[in-house]
Amino acid sequence: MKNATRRITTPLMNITRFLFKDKTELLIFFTAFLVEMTFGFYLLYKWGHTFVCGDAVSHLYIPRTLFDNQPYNTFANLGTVWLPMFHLLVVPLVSIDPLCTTGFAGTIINSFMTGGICVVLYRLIGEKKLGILASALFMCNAFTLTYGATPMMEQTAIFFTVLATYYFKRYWEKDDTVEFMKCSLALIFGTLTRYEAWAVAFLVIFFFTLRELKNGQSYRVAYAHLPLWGIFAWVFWNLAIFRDPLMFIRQPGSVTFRNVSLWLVTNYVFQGVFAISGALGLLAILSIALLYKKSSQLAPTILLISPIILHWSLMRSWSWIRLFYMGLPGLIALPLLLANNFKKPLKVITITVVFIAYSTIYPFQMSVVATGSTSGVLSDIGFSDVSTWKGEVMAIKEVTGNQLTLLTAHFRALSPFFSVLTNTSPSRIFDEYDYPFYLEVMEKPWKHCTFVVIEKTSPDDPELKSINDYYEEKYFVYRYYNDSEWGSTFLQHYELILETKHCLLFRLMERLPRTQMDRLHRF
Amino acid sequence: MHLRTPESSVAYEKPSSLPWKRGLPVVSVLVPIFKEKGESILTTAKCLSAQTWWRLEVLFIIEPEETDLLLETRRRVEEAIMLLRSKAIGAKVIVTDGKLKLKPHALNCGLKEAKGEIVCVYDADDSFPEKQVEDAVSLMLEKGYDVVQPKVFRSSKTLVGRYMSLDTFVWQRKFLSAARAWAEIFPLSGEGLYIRRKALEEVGGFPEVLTEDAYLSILLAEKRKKFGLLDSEVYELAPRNWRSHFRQRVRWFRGYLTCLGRTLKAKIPLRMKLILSIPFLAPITCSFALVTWTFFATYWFTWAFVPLIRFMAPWMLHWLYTNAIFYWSAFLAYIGNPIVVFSLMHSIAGTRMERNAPLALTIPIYWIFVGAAAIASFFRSTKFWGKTER
Repeated sequence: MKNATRRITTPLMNITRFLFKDKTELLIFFTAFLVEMTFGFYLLYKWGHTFVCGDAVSHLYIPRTLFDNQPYNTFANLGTVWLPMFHLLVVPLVSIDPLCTTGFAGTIINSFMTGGICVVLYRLIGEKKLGILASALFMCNAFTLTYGATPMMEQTAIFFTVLATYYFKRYWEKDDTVEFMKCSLALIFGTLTRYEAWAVAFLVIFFFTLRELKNGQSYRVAYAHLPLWGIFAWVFWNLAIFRDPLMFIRQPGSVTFRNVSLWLVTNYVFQGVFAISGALGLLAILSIALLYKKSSQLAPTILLISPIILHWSLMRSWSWIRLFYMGLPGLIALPLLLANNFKKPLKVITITVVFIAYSTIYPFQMSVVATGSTSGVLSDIGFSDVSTWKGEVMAIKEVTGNQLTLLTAHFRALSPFFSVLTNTSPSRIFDEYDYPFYLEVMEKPWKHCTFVVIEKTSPDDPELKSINDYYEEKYFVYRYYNDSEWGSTFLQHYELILETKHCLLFRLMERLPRTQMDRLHRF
Repeated sequence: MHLRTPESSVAYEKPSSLPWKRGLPVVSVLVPIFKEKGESILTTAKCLSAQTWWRLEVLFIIEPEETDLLLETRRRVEEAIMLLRSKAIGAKVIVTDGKLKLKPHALNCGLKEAKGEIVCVYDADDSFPEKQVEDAVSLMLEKGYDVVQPKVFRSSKTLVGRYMSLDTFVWQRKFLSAARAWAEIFPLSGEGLYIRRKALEEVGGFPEVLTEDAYLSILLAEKRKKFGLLDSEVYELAPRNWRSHFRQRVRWFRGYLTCLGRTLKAKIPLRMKLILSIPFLAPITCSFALVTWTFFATYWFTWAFVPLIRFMAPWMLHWLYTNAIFYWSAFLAYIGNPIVVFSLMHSIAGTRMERNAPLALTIPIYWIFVGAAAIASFFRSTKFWGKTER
């Protein structure tokens, strides 16, 4: 018995020793992890799920289609718009139904990530008390709690970015390429998680190349491309699967860049930064100015706030708060690193100022925790919206049962909602994840499925048109509204059986052809 | 600058500087000579003459056709003997019976004449530090090792030499130290190999196969002999050109195939079997990788860039291809290549080899060459040495 226990505990101890340098790190990790898990349970209690928005539901649906979407459970389902790392990390957990339908699979992954971020922030600051303070400030944030307890990709991306920054700082201090390689490895994972990390990768390369050339070690520039490997892999994936290396930009649903006035974007940025960190943004700017000559501290922290700079420079028409949230570790680290350079009286004053600046946001953030929504700033936080959708798809599910149903994943992510929230296997759904068979099903749904769900929308919706163009003008939602010939044929086969707030549910009036039934059974 | 050196690897050891009280053993150095350049013989002789270990005898083993004193090789051997004798080191020439033109056969002929309790092997063109023999012997006596191997680096200023240099660096730094730490054995190299005569005689001398050094490790492992890694270096000139390197690789791979068969039959613990099988499987993995990856790359390129042409051989529809070979090839392409390059760059980072980092990026191209040699090795004879030109 003793031997068996030792056999289990020894590897665990070894892993713990490998991951954590001291007991403080271990304590920080488990505190952060448990806080996030507790918050996840709170969300579960309050909303019945931990999905912050529709995207969160899709982030659990995609990994499920990799193994539970017969016969189309292929890696190609990882898709092209969203980067794949979070989906790959969550794969083992989404196979457990309760974890998938409640969103808790994502909560577990992101709780680990939050723990990791806090530990790395602690290390990054380089001074015990200030490090603990940095971790505590990061944890005492409504958005940390929210995004750390929901299946979104931000927390995972922040972890890899902070880890890369930590190793980059070590490289800068020790002039050691091994540390740079560790930084690159973290960035490879980071750039495969969120596009914001791409900016960090390019900045790392810029700083590294500049430094090595300045030091006369030009041969080391051969290492500079390593942080780009994740990006190369993604471009290559797009080429290999979709014959277009830039498919992630061109596919419907990807980011669109529009010309918006600089002042409007600046307004969004200030709103966003204030909403996540209070007046820490101003302190961060001041810290950059004062740390000007301390390149070993400034260069890494610039990496951490680069997501904010990126969104500012791209001038997008929408600026959700979670995009700026990715810069939170940098906004916290900058003034604390500055404080680390001061002697006691000035250090205490700086820390006090950090506290005051940070606490200005609490009245706003408390309401985020309490209501699960934001007011006054652009945000896609909407636990109640997901709950509303849940009620709607549950009503549809009551009618469809386990029959084959045609839905769409593109337009308002209906098929993820339906599959994840009603615990329906993706193999009982026809949607974009069954490509290319999906084209055939959309063309003549009456030959393949008993139910069809069509969303209520305006026929002139430009997104509808772009999706229709992408799917070779066979997109059934578009055709229902805009192709009268197809629409009337469709209505000869299907009858409207249920109308909800957002959807119309149609049922096949005749039985499915026997051959099709047999084929579908084999699925 | 922060520098990591191969010395930092824990598997490599240096003897302690404590003097021991036992008698000093005689070390017999075997130097097989076959079609060597004059300066190569002198390089090794000079290093031997500079050794701090004085209980040394050096045996140059030559083939019968090189006994003519008018030949350059023979004259240089005589010159080397004079040099060694001038430093009070016993040295002589041994002529093989010429029955088999294999290095191990020559070594066995030399072994018959050797008097030392410890036998060591160097090639012409090897250079090594003056304390190497002393360190090796000290380590063997101190730790009770039966066989000790220093780090062997093959390099030159040519492109092939630089690739080999990278290759051997990773081999020494990563594989050998990991193998020694995990399984307590490793595949031996023929250069700078130190072995107790008694252990060698127990396994019947040097096995007369193409890669006698690697084969010897299996035999010694079966007898549960103790292996040690010496924290000292032997530098050997890399092959002169690509052709010569190709022949060398083919010879190694052919030898490895023989070793693989023997390893599978060997009565040794599974851990040892696994660690020895990794390099011995190289001819199969490398050739298989090259063949499948070539087809995969062609298929993929036509799919991505030439949609009108569909490259599809009939056998690509076979279940074995669609279920196994395809994934193996994809793994090699997308995961294997990046891992090899990353691991290589990680090995050289912060070391003196870091200057070769730009070359490390092209290592997959070098492995295509290695794959071709692996394929050729299946058709090679096992009876001919195939001397590497340096």
